[in-house]
Amino acid sequence: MGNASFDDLIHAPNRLKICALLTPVTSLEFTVLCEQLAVSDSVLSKHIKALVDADYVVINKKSSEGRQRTWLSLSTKGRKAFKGHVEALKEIVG
Amino acid sequence: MSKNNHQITADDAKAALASIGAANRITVGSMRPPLWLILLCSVALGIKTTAMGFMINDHFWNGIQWGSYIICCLSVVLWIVALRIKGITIKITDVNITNKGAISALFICALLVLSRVIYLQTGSSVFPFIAGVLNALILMFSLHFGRLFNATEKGGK
Repeated sequence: MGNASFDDLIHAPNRLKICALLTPVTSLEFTVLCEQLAVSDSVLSKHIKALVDADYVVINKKSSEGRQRTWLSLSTKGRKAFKGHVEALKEIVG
Repeated sequence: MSKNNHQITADDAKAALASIGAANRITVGSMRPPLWLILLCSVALGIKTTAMGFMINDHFWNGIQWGSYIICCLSVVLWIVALRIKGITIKITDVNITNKGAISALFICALLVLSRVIYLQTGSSVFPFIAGVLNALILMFSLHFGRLFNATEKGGK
């Protein structure tokens, strides 16, 4: 449990879910994340911006079949922070 | 209720962990291959296992073995493409196998080898068929119910 570190930025409910949804995959499309969280584009954008500013999430925009798709992935720093946060939560639970 | 430096109670932490678990299950659930793909891959592996047993000095079974191997590989590619269309990407190079995945892989490899060894030693043509059915079932259940891999920390910057 050496790398347990509580992260206030990640702990916000929606940001916690964003990180949990992104953990098992390489990247998720913005619209998929919106559907899974059941939030509007603007709400998700706000949370994503906070995570991007902290270098926890990486945005990758790609054009496919004439439409732009926005892909979101957790950075190495984001994965470490999320893992540390989960460890910290487990320590609190005991 | 005891509180820590961050004013988070144990109940809050428990709720947060439950929410993480639920979100994680949603992603893993949406990553599950479609049933037709699971069936295609499992049947191909079953045929490959049976063919592995019979293929010694037999061009027919050797051909079937390679054919089913190619179908297995194509199903993985199809699965990745299907996921991408759904808005999920995974990179084969960015995943590590979970304990469940490793155990399933071990059983599948063991049956592949045993199918051939037992056929060579006993000449019984029953075991390769049994091994084929077992391998198809193991893969089917593992792909449908198990979490065989995770993304690693290589993804992203």
